[in-house]
Amino acid sequence: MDKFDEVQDYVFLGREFLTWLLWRADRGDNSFNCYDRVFTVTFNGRICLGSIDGDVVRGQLDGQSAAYSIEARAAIGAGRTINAATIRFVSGEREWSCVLTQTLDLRGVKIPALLVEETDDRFGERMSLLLELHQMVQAMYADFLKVRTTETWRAETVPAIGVWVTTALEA
Amino acid sequence: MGALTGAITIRRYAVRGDVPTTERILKGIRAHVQVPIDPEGDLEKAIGWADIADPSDTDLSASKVFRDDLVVLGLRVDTLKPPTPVVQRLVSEQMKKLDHRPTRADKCQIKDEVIKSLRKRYYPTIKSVDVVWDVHAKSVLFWTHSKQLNEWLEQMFNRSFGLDLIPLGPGVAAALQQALFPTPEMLMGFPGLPGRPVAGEDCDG
Repeated sequence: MDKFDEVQDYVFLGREFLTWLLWRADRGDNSFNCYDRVFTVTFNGRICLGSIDGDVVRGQLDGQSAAYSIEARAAIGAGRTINAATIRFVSGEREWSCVLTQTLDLRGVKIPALLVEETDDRFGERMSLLLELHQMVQAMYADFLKVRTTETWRAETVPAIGVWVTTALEA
Repeated sequence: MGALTGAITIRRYAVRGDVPTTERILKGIRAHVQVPIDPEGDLEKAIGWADIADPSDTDLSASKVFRDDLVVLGLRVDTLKPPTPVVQRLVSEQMKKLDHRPTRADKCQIKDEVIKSLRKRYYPTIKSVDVVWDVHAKSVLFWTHSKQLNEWLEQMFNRSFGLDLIPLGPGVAAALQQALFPTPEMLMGFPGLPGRPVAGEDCDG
């Protein structure tokens, strides 16, 4: 199996990760740690949902809070997972945003405003901020894998996500 | 556009293998620096390293490549391929000039000659994609999601430095050596919802 196929074979984990992340963010449990720094995530903007089969295999919801909408919850309840979402990361006064995809690639990254003016230093700062975002994504995914690879996932997390979906739909 | 300024769209990699010395890295880069395509030859595509800020610059000194702990490069892809419609038109014109019905061999020979003459009249297209390697963190950022370009990066990186790039996608879970399967609820929907299986049926996972 080549490396690209290996990634593709586990792509369902990327979709489950984004769905888990939305569930956490919507509950307000949106803080993570990365090298002793706390950061928070929120979904803001477009999300893409998909499923392997069914009547609808791909859909897109646009809007400032599209991820938190009843439509998103209904889609997740019906077996759709998130393929890509615009996510905002906040650490202290700094703010990043990007589209995080199911393959954990980053698109349309926006980094905090640069402070230095010298060209070389600007590159250094730009890279430093980008590598920080990379570490934050890795930290969140590591947290997800800790849950996903234990019994907690089936026994607690999945039922809790189910309750989160049904509660919203019944309201 | 890329690492220095502009939009940021990246694929992230982990580097597998021991961190090479600065000299080894520079040697690997210089051994695989981009060499322009010779129009007299028949090579259609050439891939190699170039300066991140100026893809036409292939004289890569340490000061251009190393910035603190980062190695910064451009993966340059040169393509010299005359447009297919032009080749087809000229081949067709040449075949009409023959005094006999053209054979397959005639067509191949004419096509080769047409391409050879056209290669001298066209300039190669140059595409360069930024690569930033955080040597000590063992991570690489690559400014495109294109499957083909990512495969070329992996090949070039291995040839140049003898190191493997592992895409930092959800596939890193494979390193856990634990079989993971999709969660049934996230494929078929949650039990109890309209049109979904009832708890205990189909969704036991």
